[in-house]
Order: sequence, then structure tokens, then C-alpha cells
Amino acid sequence: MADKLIKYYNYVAEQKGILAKGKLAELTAMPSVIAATQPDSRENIEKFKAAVAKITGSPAPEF
Amino acid sequence: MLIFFIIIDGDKIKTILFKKNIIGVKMKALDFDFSKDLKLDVESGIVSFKNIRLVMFDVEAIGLLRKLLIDELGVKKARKIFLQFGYQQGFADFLQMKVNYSFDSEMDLLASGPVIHTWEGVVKAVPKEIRFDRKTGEFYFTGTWTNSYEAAQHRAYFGLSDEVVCWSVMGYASGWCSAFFGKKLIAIEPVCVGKGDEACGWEIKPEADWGPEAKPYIEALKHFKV
Repeated sequence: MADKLIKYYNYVAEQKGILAKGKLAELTAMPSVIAATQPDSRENIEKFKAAVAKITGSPAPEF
Repeated sequence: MLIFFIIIDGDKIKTILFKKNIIGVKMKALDFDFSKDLKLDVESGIVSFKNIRLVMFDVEAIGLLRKLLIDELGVKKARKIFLQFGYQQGFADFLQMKVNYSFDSEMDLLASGPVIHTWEGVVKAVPKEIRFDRKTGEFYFTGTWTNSYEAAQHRAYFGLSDEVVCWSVMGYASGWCSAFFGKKLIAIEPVCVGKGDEACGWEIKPEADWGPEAKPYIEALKHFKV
């Protein structure tokens, strides 16, 4: 279950606004409704952290 | 719901208001109020609930999309698509509710599913029986759905069906409950307005507890891992 991936979605929305979720979906190729049923695997989390850093311009937090 | 705190600071009395869910106070399923966190922003053209962007469509336009998919792909494939669509949405909604709100009990968290589904205007969902045991893996959840948009749209475009038709609604319930329980659960309608019953209903059980009637539903959702 993707608790952490969903937290990254909420994080970018809080940092950069709700439209940033679309950018995160584009960069990860994993929209939030798809991410919800994916595992919080190391690979997925690394992919999300890299995308979050690109969107926010700051290192992604650990969840 | 709002909570008042009265703080006495020297000779001054301060009253502070907090929204219940902001300070993490737990709530009952029925306390959930979708309208409190719904934002309609005409400046940006964005409607949102928490951090989820929403769009509003005429229900008959959604019914048309459903009809076009059925016409193009046939009932079996269209049913599979709507079951999967509902499952992903229910699963994702559950995670958002878990992250954004604190409930009094696990039972309230589970029961908030029918509440949010009702707020979303998909269907009026009223639970009847809830029973689960994480140790034994037992899960049984039943209830009544009324005003299902999907049953109404099916009848509007196709008339009465021989089978139950609230595919996305069943998918949503399956996804929500599977995310809650951490195990694949399947929701099936024992009755449906789409086939002429007075109301729709739901029965949710683990895959293994269903008989052959569940085969198309289990097949449609088989690739989802919980």
C-alpha cells in the first residue's frame, strides 16, 4: 500500500499548489489513483523523491 | 464540528476556535463533512477537496461515456474497465482519508467509506452489517445503495438489465475495503435498480468466500495487489 507515495502527492500540493500534482504524475508516470495501489518500494520512493526535488527545487522529505 | 478552548491569561480570557480535524481530535464516521474541505476557486478554475482536484460533469455525460464504452467494447470489457476504475478510486480515497483525518475507531474509518461515497454524489450508501476480524481474516460488510447514478444511467441508455450494473460503485467499495483490510475483498450487488429491484445493495467478502457468481469481479480485479 502506497502511504508514502500518497504523502509525496500531498506534499507537492502543499508546497507548490494542486497543479503540481499533475507535474508529479507526469514525472513519475504514476498518477495518484494508480500510485495508491502500488507498493512503497525503494524504487518507487526514489523515483518520487527525485521528481519532488525537481518540482520544488529542494530535497524531498523522508516519510 | 468546531471546538472552543478557553484560555485564561492573567486577567484576559481568550477563546480559541479549532476545527476538529485540524488538531487531530478523532471523529466518528458521520462527523465527516465533505463540504468543509471543498473549495470552489473561480479565479483558478480549480475545484478541490483537500489536495485532490475534482471536476464536475453532468451525470448524463458520464452516462454517455459509459454507453460509448459499452457500445465500442461490449458489456464484459466495459464492466471490467468500470470495476477497475472504481477500485483504484476507492483505494486512493481510502488512503487520503487515512492520511487527512483521524477517526475514533477502525470501525469509523471503515464506515467513512459509505459516507464519502454519499458526499461525492455517487450513491446514498447506508451500512447494515459490519463484521471483521483481522486475526482470522473474516470480513463481512453489507448495506443499501439508493440513488445510484450508475443504475439510473444504465437504465437511461439501455433500459432494464438482466444483471446488476453498478460496476464502478462495486469497484469503489471493493477498493476502499481492500485498502482498509489489507486483503483483497470483493463487493457485489445482491440487488440492483438496474435490473428492476427497488434499491441497490452491497455485500463485501474476501475473494475465497464467494462462489462462482463472483468470477467476473475477481477476474477484473485480479492484477491489483493489496
